[in-house]
Amino acid sequence: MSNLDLALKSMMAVDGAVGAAVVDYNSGMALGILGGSKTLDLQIAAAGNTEVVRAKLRTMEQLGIKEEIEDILITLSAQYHIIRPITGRKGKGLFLYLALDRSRANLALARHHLKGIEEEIEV
Amino acid sequence: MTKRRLGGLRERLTKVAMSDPAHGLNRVPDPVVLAVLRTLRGRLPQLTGSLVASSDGLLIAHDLPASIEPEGMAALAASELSLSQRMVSIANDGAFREVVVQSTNGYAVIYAAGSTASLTVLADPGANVGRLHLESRPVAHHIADHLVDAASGTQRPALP
Repeated sequence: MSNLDLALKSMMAVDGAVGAAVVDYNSGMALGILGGSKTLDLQIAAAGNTEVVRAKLRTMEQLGIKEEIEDILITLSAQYHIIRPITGRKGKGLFLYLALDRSRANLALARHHLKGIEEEIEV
Repeated sequence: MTKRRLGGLRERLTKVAMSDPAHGLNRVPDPVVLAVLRTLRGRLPQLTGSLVASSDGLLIAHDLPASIEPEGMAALAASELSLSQRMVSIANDGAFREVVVQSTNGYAVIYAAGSTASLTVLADPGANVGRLHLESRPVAHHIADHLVDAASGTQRPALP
């Protein structure tokens, strides 16, 4: 099993996870997806959240903020969506995307797990 | 006159039908397809142009920038379509769906629109290809349906 598949499995093992993806934000296409449902199409999520990441990076550049994005949290009424750009040399231009069911998820723990997965991943 | 003769020469050499405005071969663009292409451009800011051509290289409608010659592009799209269809028939024997040509200055994606036409979409190098596919595939599908209907003379509701 590849490292990418392992990372996706670990992401889905986080409490409350409903969908996970590793996305290339240069192309907007997912390198791998796991989970998801009829109401959560991960291909659409990958393309759409690529715009979110790009918009944030552009805004930071325009503001003159020379920092890295650690993660982006989007809180919905029934879900959490966490976006975490991969910082390692081998994962440049990729981000992790994890959708969680709010009623079952522990946000602090989920962010902690995602940080660990991001540090381990090799693509 | 010279221009027409040149067109005839190009036609013989390239085996691609050249439109001759004087003979009315240069048909009016399909208004439904044109409207669909304009809507697509509105939805994708990184899109620089689009074109629909039949598999025999005739232009159906285009929304290209002035720098690109639509007739030539239509002919090229048709040869790309037939090349890809042959590739598919040899490689894995299915129906051709799309081909992405990426260059340092952008993308050209050719989608099958049914078995007799293609949709070509041009985009910036910074384009979100995932989104480009998500938006363009239904459009290619819709155009395919429309062309079938147009051939049989029925009407279909517009794309939402």
